Amino acid sequence: MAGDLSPQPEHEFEEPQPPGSGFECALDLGQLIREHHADVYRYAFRLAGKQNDAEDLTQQTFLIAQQKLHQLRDPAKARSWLFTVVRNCYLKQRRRPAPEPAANLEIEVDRIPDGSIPPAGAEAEWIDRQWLQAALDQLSDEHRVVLVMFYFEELSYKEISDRLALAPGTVMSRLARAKGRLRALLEAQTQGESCPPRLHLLLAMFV
Amino acid sequence: MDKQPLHNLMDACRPHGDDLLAPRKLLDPEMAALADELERDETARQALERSQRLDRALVAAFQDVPVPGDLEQRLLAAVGAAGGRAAADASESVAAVAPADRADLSSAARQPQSRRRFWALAMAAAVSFIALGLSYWLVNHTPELTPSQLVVQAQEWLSDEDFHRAAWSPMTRQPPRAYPRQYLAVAPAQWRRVETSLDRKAVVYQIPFRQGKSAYLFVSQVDTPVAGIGSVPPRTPLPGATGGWSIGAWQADGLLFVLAAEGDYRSLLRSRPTA
Repeated sequence: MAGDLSPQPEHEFEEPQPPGSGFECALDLGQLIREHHADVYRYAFRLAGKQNDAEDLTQQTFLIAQQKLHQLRDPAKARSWLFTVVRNCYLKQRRRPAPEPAANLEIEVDRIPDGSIPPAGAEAEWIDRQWLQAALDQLSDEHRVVLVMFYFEELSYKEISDRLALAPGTVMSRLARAKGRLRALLEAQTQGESCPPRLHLLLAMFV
Repeated sequence: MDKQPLHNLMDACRPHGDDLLAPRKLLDPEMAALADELERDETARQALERSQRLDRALVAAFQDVPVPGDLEQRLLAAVGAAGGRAAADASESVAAVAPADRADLSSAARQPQSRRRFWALAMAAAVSFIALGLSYWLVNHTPELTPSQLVVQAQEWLSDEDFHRAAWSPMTRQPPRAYPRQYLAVAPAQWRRVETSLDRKAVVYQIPFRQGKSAYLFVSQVDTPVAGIGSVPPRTPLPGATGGWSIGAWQADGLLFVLAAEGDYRSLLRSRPTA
């Protein structure tokens, strides 16, 4: 399991090219920073959980990008390339993964009531960013990484398995466990008065 | 389908993705099985809908991170992006000159044959001369390292798994004389050889530090000066170190010393250079 958390090898920096494309990277580092620093910082923040750590990770990412920019041949892949660098930097810094939660927190379809579904729309306002971060901070690295790849990068489980060099089945079950754990933590936090009732209702269906 | 694989498959569907929208024969076998199940089972369909509604809320929340207003400027300053832009400008001006060169060549085609031969020989000589000069420069020139790059490299040495696995030698076994330690107020506990990006036979000393914290002095033989690095340990660490590390560096007598500590390294140093 511990091996699953290892930062990915250097070849991850080298994105595959179409055969014979002969494509040259037209980006310079300043352009890369101007276009992607906000996304890189947000990604780093969701992994690291603190502003200072996220800024450090962001800076380290662009310093590494400065050294390895020649490996980026396709500017269209710059964003995912930078996310890979952030993820590798983060995992390198984390030598001791948090313990795996023992509880099985999968969805129980049979327990989901047939009652009304909360009204659609305005999903963006349901979850407070601080609740989310507080919940993410309680997850193990392997769960946090896979959730950030799924929710932030919006990668499919197959793409996640390619990038983490894990079997698709492993990613699928890890993703399910991580999502179950996140829902449980969010549900526990939304017991307070400030939680929108429809979010609480929705979360309660999953835990 | 069993409940557990069904749950896992539902959780693997992206909230805004088209994981189940493709024609059945184009879907992965697992996703095709889920699509079949959803057609049969209304309860499962409702569960997926609720799961994806919650996932859409989470996608929005994951992106909802305020970015410090001055971050871009600080990053540009940290990486010295101005230099990068200047290099890009230079290559653009080279590209702009190229068509004129081509025009010269096409006018040369109209010259008498003897003049063409003369110019061809002259150009071949010029190209050979430039290639020779470039080869000499490449062989003899080591690109200058910046402090920021040095910090990144030092953190790579520290985070290398092999670095933490390798065996150390006690100080009772004499370290190589060519790799002395300098300015240390605290005697190292142990030492060993380490292959770094700067010196394949570098030496690293492990220094006793606060409880649970590590400190290391890397000594490398590096002739090329590192810009902005002095000959004595700096009072303040180099900028850019992460993870709670403070990194200082100095260069003297063909040696580069990099001190890395989890915390403030100043208590490890003294003012005199001798070991």
